[in-house]
Amino acid sequence: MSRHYRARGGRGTVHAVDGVDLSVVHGETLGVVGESGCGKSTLGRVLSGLEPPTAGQIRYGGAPLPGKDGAAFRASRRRIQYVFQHPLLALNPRLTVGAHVAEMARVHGLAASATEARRKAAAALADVGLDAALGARYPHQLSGGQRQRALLARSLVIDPEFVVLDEPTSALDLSVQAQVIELIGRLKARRALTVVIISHDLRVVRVLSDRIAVMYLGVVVEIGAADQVYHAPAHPYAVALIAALLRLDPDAPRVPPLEGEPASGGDIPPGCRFHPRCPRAAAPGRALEPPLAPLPDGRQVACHAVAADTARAPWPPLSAGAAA
Amino acid sequence: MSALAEGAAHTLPPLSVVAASPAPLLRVEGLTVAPRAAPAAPIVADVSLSVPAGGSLGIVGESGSGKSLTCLAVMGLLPRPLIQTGGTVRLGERTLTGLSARELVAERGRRVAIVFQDPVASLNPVRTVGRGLTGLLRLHRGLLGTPARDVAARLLEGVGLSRRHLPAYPHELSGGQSQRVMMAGALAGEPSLLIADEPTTALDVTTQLQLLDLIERLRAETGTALLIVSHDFGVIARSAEQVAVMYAGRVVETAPVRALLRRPAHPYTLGLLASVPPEHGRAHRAPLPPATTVARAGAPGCAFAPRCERAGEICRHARPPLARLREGFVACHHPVPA
Amino acid sequence: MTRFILTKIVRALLTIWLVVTITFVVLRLTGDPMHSLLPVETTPPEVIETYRVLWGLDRSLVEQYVSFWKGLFSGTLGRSFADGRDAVGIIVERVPKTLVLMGWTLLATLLMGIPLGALAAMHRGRALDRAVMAVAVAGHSLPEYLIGILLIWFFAVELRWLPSSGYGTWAHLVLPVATLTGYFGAQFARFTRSAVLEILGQPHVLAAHAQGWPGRAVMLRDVLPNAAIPLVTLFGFSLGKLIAGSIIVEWIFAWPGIGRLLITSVTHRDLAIVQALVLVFAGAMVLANLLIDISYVLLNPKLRVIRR
Repeated sequence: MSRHYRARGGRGTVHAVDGVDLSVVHGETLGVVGESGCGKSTLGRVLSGLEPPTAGQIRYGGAPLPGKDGAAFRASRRRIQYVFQHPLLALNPRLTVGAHVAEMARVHGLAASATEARRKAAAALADVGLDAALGARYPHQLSGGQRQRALLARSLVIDPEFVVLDEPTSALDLSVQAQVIELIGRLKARRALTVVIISHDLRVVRVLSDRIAVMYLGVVVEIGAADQVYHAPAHPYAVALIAALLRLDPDAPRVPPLEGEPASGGDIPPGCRFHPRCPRAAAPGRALEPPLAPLPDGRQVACHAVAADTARAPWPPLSAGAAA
Repeated sequence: MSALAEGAAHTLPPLSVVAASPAPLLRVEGLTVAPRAAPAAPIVADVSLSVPAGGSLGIVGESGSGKSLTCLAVMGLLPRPLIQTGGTVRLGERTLTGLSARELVAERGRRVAIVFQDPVASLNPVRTVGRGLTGLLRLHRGLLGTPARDVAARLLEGVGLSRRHLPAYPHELSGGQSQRVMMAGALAGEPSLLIADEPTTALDVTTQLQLLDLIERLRAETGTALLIVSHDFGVIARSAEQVAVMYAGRVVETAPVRALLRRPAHPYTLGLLASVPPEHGRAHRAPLPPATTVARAGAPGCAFAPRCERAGEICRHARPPLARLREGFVACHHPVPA
Repeated sequence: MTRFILTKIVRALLTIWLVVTITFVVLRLTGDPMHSLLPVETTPPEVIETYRVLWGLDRSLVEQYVSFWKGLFSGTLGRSFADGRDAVGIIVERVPKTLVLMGWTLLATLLMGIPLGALAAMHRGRALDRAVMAVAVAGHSLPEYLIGILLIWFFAVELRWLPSSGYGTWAHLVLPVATLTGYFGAQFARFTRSAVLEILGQPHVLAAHAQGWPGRAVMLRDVLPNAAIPLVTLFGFSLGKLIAGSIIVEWIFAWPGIGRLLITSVTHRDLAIVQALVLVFAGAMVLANLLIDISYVLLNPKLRVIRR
């Protein structure tokens, strides 16, 4: 699956997401991590059907996702929900929080009357830990954490099967973030939701996900079980990303930071996209883009060096980052 | 005013830390900041801090805790609606509080420099990096022409950029590069104290690590003291020797960084540390309950009491003073046992 | 940059052509100029016919149009129907007088509007701000003709300090320029205030203070250059309104510029003059906008790089 954007000015194409193959299993939570500009938000919008892929296809429950117009798309919203990154931008400042949620229930035909819609809204708000009294407030009258909860309530009131959460905790204070994480975990467990969580925060993603996909410049470089990827990353970029997490210990071993900065999506290096910054880059990485290949432990990694390791050494080889 | 006088008594303990440390460079005593319109309802109350020459202090807290306002007050740059209603700020031998606007301008950038959270927006969009730096070198060191350009290029090299970046405009730089340029500008006046207000919050993790390494290296080279503000314990653990935790405009705990991270004494510090997503397992240890009301510095009793599971009757009536406990100081009637 | 300017020039020429053509057709479709030029009832039909042929009004629209362009390229725009003088000559004689009026207005507008707006922003919410803004709101909400009439009443009729109309001395210039400046200066003051307020709130201004720049230097180095970018846009919009405003003001104060000429020519259906004036106004507007576009790019480095 790919999603390209025409650059403004009409010269060149920005490859926001470039040839990503992945599947999300019913009931699982997939975390997508990467730094700004890696294409994770674009991937999220395409996965939820809000944007069409430039190439490739998204199949949902066996059928391709409908295009953005028409009744089929509206019907698909009933099952697939995308929760935006900025609660304050995603909520209409002139509607109360309760009205947002009630409106959602009505639009999708889940409430025959205004009273029923209000009742459903109150239940959905209670579900995300918002007091009934808060439903009468306008978005700007809520705290950041309450807004995030309201946004969740709006999507969950119609009982979707699949939810894409884009940076659900990024604007929140630490203690509020912990509460929202706890809430998402609880909602997931109770409703058997299938979830994709997009975040730059690896710790948040690890706590909430079954599997993690690490993205770099529009491609998935590593995907596997959450704890495996987090505690023993294999791809050199994943290794560096996790090593860059700051431990709550002044005496933690110092790792030299990854040098340079990622190129932009409009100017992708040939061969392996990570090779200009990669400590393990060798000749093949400069010429050939490595495919996402399975390792013996079940995860998939797109790296020539890791592939060579697995071919050479008996299992388990893995990288130096395993110590982190 | 009576609340202020009462507060003044509590400022004494941290000063004994000050006295013990070699030569305090920055000394903040009883700093209180309030809206001009409501001087009796402070937003920052009775904050006392000190940074030794060449040393480092981290301030950690959530949004609204007053940590950034404390920095702005030190710089004498409080936004118009706010005013410092009490306390003193001393830098070296000089008392900054009470200086005229003109005298304060002369201190800024020379003795004390600050970098902010949003590096891209902190650079004037219509000025090149080179013109910004040479301007500062003229202002602070009287350098002009080619010598100024050469020193500007050296400053850029010092922060990991190069002469190539002199003609660049801010929009041509990434966030990390912009923050490096801000650092170069901050060092142009060879300050003895660098204040970094959430310097890496807007940056990606790998870039954040580069910047923290840079700050560490520059401090080793120049001997500049550091006051770093962050909401992230990881950043503080990495770059500060002492930590002060702020809640609702007050310092609730201060201690050496290792002691604070390993044996937090204030229940808020403990809860905040427990809010960091765990490395293993799915559940947080014990996240803090949500704040039901906005905690205010001026309220009677302990501002944290409504969210505190250790709170007793006394916590709601009497504000706990900052008192010595183990390696640090804590403002709590029922501190967490070691 | 060259390509950017060339595209702009091509578009500008296209605009002028469109405006001139539309005026040409509309003027000839909306009535017979003979009716307003000659007393049709009393003039013998032969005389009317003679004039019709003389001015080329007997020919088809297309023929007239072709000969208009031929004339344009050889430097003539026909003769005034009213007094037979060369249209170009009449306009060339009048243009400087209008330019004097507009030039002083622009100067006064910029010199008063921008500093007052900046001062108001720096004293936001205080007495100075409120005073400046009260005057500015009044100036901006009153139409030019009302400001003009009030000024005439006060300074010419009541105080008898200044002449109420005419052209020639400095004194004649004061009231028309004051009328126009009352409106445009107010607009610039308001706009400068909001532009400066927006820039004042930006982190780079706080950063400049923190770096040790004195307040005045921050204003000159950081605030005004950034506030200038939206002001240039306003300047572009204002030029069009300034032309419209000067037509009214020239009429009120009997100022013998091209604005007044336009009004007399239109009432007399003096087609050649109207046509030539439209060309002048369109040309002026287009040229002004071109200069605005170019200076906008020069002021804003972000645009410069994209266009490079």
